[in-house]
Amino acid sequence: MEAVSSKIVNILVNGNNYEVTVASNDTLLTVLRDKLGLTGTKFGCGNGECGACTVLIDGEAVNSCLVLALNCEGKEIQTIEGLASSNGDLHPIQQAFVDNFAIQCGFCTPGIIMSTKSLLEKNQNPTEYEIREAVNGNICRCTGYENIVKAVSAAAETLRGK
Amino acid sequence: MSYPHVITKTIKEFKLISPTTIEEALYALNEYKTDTRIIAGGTDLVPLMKHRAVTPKYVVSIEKLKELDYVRLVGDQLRIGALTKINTIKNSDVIMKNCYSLYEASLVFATPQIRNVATIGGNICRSSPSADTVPSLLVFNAQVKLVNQKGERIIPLEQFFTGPGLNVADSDLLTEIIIPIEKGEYGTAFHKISRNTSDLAKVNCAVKVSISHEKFSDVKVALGAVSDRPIRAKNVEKLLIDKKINAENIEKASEMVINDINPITDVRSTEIYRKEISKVLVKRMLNLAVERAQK
Ligand SMILES: Cc1cc2nc3c(=O)[nH]c(=O)nc-3n(C[C@H](O)[C@H](O)[C@H](O)COP(=O)(O)OP(=O)(O)OC[C@H]3O[C@@H](n4cnc5c(N)ncnc54)[C@H](O)[C@@H]3O)c2cc1C
Ligand code: FES
Ligand code: FES
Repeated sequence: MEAVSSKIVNILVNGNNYEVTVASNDTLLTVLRDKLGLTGTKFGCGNGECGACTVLIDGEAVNSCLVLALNCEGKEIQTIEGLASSNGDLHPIQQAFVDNFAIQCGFCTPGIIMSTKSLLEKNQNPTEYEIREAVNGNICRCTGYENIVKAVSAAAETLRGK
Repeated sequence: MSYPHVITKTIKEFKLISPTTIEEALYALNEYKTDTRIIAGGTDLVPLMKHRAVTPKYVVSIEKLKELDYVRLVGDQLRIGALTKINTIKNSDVIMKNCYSLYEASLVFATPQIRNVATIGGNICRSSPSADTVPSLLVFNAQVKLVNQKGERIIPLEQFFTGPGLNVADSDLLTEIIIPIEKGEYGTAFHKISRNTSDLAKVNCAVKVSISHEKFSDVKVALGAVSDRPIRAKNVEKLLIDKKINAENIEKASEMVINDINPITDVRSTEIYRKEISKVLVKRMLNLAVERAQK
């Protein structure tokens, strides 16, 4: 059992394998943004409070600002960049956010969409309460949340129809 | 105008050790005794390291010890592995059935993102006076198992805390929480008063009551964020045991909580508010637990 201060690891982000040198004190957020250039995931508070940095690890929404990157080896990470298809078509959740004016400045949007994805993968027919619960860890200072709730519910409807 | 040199909060360099078995973890904790921290979910430790409130040289990650992630009913004991996530507690039927107040605590614990990584062992070992899982564990007389290379010991959770952020675990690994489950009818309730669920408690409170012949045969009351550690309200308990269940007795006993607590004024609340709301909270939780016990 080594005590490591940095290591080359393979991490799987949006289905792509990246080989990257990670320091023990790097968070997953730092690695995504500064080492892999995936800047869709945002840095808000760095303390687990705002949800701007939300990504999915093995399908579960987590605050990437609190996760040690070295602990991510062998796990499946999904970020906002993985949602739209390669031809540029938006994912139904993204489209619903656009259609329902659930985006203003957009800073919270990647995080909220990842929280939404985690919800809708488990529950395709959420109640309003369940939607509000699912985005409870994401702060939006622009929209007032109403349109976000509408967008999540519209996205659920689209996904059910598929 | 000057800009800060470092614009993102960073963690001071450290060496990470990632054991894959309990034996390896105990070996590592024995090998690196000084300047070492255990990391489980990291939801407490990472912010502390970012603020440089703690700057360990070594960090032992216990994340890979999957054998510590379980909820089991063994005879008349509910056993919870230290690495069990708050979200697992929220989704556990066994906990909902046997330890409803702990289930209630999981519902108002932080945010979905935090619940997906935060562990019950981390909540206990952080030893914050406001830890949301602790009051429920205290009213069930829970015990904790502490392990090191020399052996293991099981101690009552009540004796675990020694002050804010302080406990008796030295370089011990907390492996299990043991909750005795009684056979008879009992009711429990938990509530936290806070600005919102992702905020820590201004005050939190759990109650467990057992009833026989319209009297309280047993009462346990615990509160958080009203002292230097989570506490049992033994003055309230004493006044109710063997007493008739009625509004007057509950009201009188709830007022007595003032003798059990010693709150401070801080960013979340004031001493005066904490004193007043503690009385109300104890009364409400007693009533709710009684209602549930009688069902
Ligand atoms: C935004 C936010 C909201 C929060 N909201 C709440 C809330 O509502 N209620 C609440 O109670 N808490 C809350 N917390 C605090 C925190 O999430 C919890 O205390 C959590 O349970 C800690 O668990 P962890 O696994 O992340 O611990 P870690 O951060 O990994 O560890 C915490 C401490 O315990 C030690 N430790 C961990 N596991 C063990 C073990 N098995 N043996 C020995 N030592 C160990 C570590 O060394 C460290 O000192 C919140 C935190 C954040 C960032
Ligand atoms: S940046 Fe991670 S929660 Fe705010
Ligand atoms: S759209 Fe601006 S913070 Fe949410």
